Amino acid sequence: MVEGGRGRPKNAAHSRHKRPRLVGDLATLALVFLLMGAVYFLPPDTSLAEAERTGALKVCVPQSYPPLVTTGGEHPGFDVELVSEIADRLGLTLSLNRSPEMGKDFNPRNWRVNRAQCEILAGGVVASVITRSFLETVETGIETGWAIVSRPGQSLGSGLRVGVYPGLGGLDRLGLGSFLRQRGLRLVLRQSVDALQAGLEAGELDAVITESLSAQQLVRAHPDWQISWMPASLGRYPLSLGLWKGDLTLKRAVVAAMDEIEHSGVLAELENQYGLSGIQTVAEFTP
Amino acid sequence: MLGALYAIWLREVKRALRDRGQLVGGVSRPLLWVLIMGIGLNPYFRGEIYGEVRFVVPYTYLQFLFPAVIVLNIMYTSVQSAVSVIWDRQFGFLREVLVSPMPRSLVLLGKILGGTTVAMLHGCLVLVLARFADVSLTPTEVLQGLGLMFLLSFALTSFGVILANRIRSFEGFGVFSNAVILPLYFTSSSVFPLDPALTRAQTRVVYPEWLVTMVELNPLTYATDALRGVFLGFNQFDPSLGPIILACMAAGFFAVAVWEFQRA
Repeated sequence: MVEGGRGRPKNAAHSRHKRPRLVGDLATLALVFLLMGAVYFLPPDTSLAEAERTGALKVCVPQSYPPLVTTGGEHPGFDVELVSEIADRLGLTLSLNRSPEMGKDFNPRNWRVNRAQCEILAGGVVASVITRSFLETVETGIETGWAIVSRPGQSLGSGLRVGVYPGLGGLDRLGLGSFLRQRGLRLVLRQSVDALQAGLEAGELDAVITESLSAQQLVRAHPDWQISWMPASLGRYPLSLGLWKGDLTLKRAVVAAMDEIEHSGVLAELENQYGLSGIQTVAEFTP
Repeated sequence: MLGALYAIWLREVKRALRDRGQLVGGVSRPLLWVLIMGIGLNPYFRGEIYGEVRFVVPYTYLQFLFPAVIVLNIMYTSVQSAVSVIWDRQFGFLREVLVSPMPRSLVLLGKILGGTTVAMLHGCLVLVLARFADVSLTPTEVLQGLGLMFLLSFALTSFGVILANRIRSFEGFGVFSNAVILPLYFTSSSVFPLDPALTRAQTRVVYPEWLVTMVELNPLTYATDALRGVFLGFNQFDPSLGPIILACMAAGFFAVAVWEFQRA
């Protein structure tokens, strides 16, 4: 009988190899897998190297989007402090680019944010499938979605006057409108969060609905008001930092820095500081 | 019978492990496709202005290519492992096995399972590149992926045996298998996506109709899509289609291979 078709008698092959050949075969295979694994250490792009060359981490944020981005000096906002921590850990200087166009239009193309202006976008980037078509996303641990705020003891039933400020967050406003109408609630559109607050304070509105971060700010000003998520069927999304698609090395470095920030407890501290510890309840609507 | 099945399976696996050429091919293919082509084309699909990309899918080109390279590595290894049928026929091993009391279908099953194991191993070589391609895998996803890879490997090894039964020389098999593998690979939506955001009519405006039809008729399109669904969480087609088509391919090709093997 021949071995492997090479015309070499099998027992001769065995006498030449003291250890079983299968061990050698498996060792070769293990070596091949190790070599393939080592490919991870090859940088697939120049995004991190470029940031390190300039020494700056350029971040685009909207002019103001409390509590993620504020104009206050001591508390510049959750996302601003977060990217500052990330820049520190990467050994880079944070260069903040406040763009007045960001968030002013539904179509992000009209914000005119490009790669030359910044490496990271922050201040309300939602980690949805649509966003991921344009940007790489690194989640920050904060969730967004529709939230409802009402005075204490207010039950949510048919006939209530509900103020709605959809904002520019890109949440599903058609779905919300249809949900509220199906339950017989009367919708009153308002132009700002301040207008919602005024309506609820004056008793013109029984409850108000807006994006959860703004809703949490309302409750910070009125701790007696109750806040709940709208049902999950209306969508709830993690917020994130946005990086340019294809910037893999920078993304890896940012993810590693985020892990460090989370494990050191800094992330939890920031969440507490900006009142972003999360909404605990989901609204229940009575027929 | 199980002992005989195991012996044939083990022989196929050992033969493949000792074939350094096959191993080099299994390593070089993913390296070339993921490392060179993936990284080479990645900048052309990256974002420059927020809201503007050429590639409106929620992953990078490297991630998009990754499941397709698994399919490519499995295809080559599966079909080439069937060359052992020609080898065994030439050197008389097949005659020796066929005169044994073992049913021919079991002999074939042993060979196909051996080829399947080796093809899966080559598929796993690509999986090692997952972190590099920024594809994060959970244990459940790996298990689901291995299940799909098994079905694909089994189906394609059976398909390779059908080819090997019709071709009598090594040279002819090499040329023929390349002529089958590469067209199947390129028309499986492996290197370009059929944009899932577009309707069927819109897709036929972006791409020529003959190409869309070829992609839709190619069963490997659904295998690639199923692996994309598992590893990237994104499907271009109905997610249930992939596993169903793979199972049908595995059963169908194996049945034909057994029928032809028993006639030969």
